[in-house]
Amino acid sequence: MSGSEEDSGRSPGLVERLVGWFDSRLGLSNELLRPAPRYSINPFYWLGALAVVAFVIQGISGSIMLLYYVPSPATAYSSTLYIFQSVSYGQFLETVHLYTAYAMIMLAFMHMMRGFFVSVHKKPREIMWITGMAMGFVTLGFGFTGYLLPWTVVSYSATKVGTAMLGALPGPVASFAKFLLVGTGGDAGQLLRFFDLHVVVLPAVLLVLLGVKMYMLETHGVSEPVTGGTPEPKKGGRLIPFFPDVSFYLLELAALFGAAMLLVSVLFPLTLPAAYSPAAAGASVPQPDWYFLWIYQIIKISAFEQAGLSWALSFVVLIFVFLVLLPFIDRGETRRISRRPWFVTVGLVFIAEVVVLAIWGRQTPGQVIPNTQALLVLGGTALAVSIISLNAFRLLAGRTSNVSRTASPPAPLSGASRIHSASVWASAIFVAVLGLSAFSIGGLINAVVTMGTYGISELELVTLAFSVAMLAISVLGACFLLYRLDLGRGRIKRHVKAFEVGWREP
Amino acid sequence: MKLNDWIVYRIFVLLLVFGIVSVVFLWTLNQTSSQSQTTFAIFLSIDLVVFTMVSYIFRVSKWNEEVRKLPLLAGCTALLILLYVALTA
Repeated sequence: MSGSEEDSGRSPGLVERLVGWFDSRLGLSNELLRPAPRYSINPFYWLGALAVVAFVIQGISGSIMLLYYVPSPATAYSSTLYIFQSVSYGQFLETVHLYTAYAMIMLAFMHMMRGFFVSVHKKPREIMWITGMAMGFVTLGFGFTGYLLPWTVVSYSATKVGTAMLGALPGPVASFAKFLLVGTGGDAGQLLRFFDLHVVVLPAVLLVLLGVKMYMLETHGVSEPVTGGTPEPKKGGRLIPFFPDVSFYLLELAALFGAAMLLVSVLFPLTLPAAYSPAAAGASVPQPDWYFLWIYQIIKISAFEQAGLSWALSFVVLIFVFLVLLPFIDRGETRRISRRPWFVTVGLVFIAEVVVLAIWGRQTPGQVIPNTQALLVLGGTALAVSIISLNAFRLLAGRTSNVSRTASPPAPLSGASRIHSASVWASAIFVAVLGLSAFSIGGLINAVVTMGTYGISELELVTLAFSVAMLAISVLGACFLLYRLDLGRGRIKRHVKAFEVGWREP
Repeated sequence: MKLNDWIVYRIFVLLLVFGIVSVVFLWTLNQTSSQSQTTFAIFLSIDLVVFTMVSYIFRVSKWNEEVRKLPLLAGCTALLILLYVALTA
């Protein structure tokens, strides 16, 4: 009860008294979450929040499915089929559950990579980063455990391969993982363990980690822009109360995300694969879901096949360890993307390799990848992305120095517009080269794999030649970019007039 | 363009009416028909888009910022497409 009410002599109504009673016990009117700066009203700042929204949608859809699902080998598939065919909106529910799971993994990955690029892992948010990584692993755990539950031939076979890989881990770790995931109860015991992990253990762990991360978010606040420091209130630094302003913004994002998920579920409804049976499993090639395909493809490389699974797993673990310990590896003071060329390039190469490996893995189920092929594709991707990225950094650095050089004394307008034009041209070539190399590498892989599987055909030879030509054009494009960035005052420019378009005069 | 501008005010009220009608329609669907899954999902999407637009206008006006035309146009176009798909599905 406020003082003004007492002064006015008006006695509070029933609702006001009820609200006051709860408020005095629960502290509802206290500021629960800290205000957010205006610059954080940007979807990229809330990718993690959207992953939580996906988790909530999964929780709701999963809880409804729990009413019908029976976790035993004899009934798992039939109960899933029952949800599909007999429960009202059952197919829609299953589709939404699956697609939000995919979206959650994708959003968590995007959240992590954004954090990597804008250095949110730096002081004082190191533990926050590690907590986020742990949440990412739990999210992958959701995918791994949930994949088995429908007990289809695809899910059973892929999970068996996954659990068989546990044997390659170091002794005590392998024993613990086997105890946790496989047990001694055969298929029934394993399904029950996966079900318990998926429905009870992992959600509980994720909620605890989410609480820890939210606490740290409240402690440190939203990260500052990469330009460093909190901007002035007039330039986006003013604080906005969490309720109702920021919460309304989050609800908008959540609503749009929900609408997108609903529409995707309607457009591409899920179809249930065949039930697991030993005969059906023998006829199919096990393949994991898309988010594990990159690991699957690494394991299939001939060098790792010969050296043993433990080497391949060690390599994958090394990547994860690098990501977890990133705050203690990337310890530089600056957070600006333009001043961290090497780490940003490593991040871009990582994304490109994961995408290439996943697409490649999808196209070559069960095939061992020769070392030379792996070296060409993975090395080529890394090289192409590194060249493009590092040259883009040179372009940015050059533009900054050019601008500062022309700032004093003031440059004529035509010079500034030439610099701008050169940047636009270089950026356009950068995008074209990136797209062309992606297409040509994809075409090359496809042609080689198809010829390796089904023999040489005229069509595939044409595809191969076309891909090689495109790759050559993209290499030429990269050279052109290099020329524009580095060789502006060299001999080539004086002789090839066509290259002078948009380039500034020395 | 602010909330008290006539055009935004009209859009705001229209969206509210549209959202309410859409929610009421959702409750009339036959839940045992598989055909209504599609209609349900599209109309629920319409509701979510309507909510987003209403919340956007409210929030931006509260912050004394300009209501931008692009989000409104994009939202209205999306609503029209969704409505067309829902009615022809």
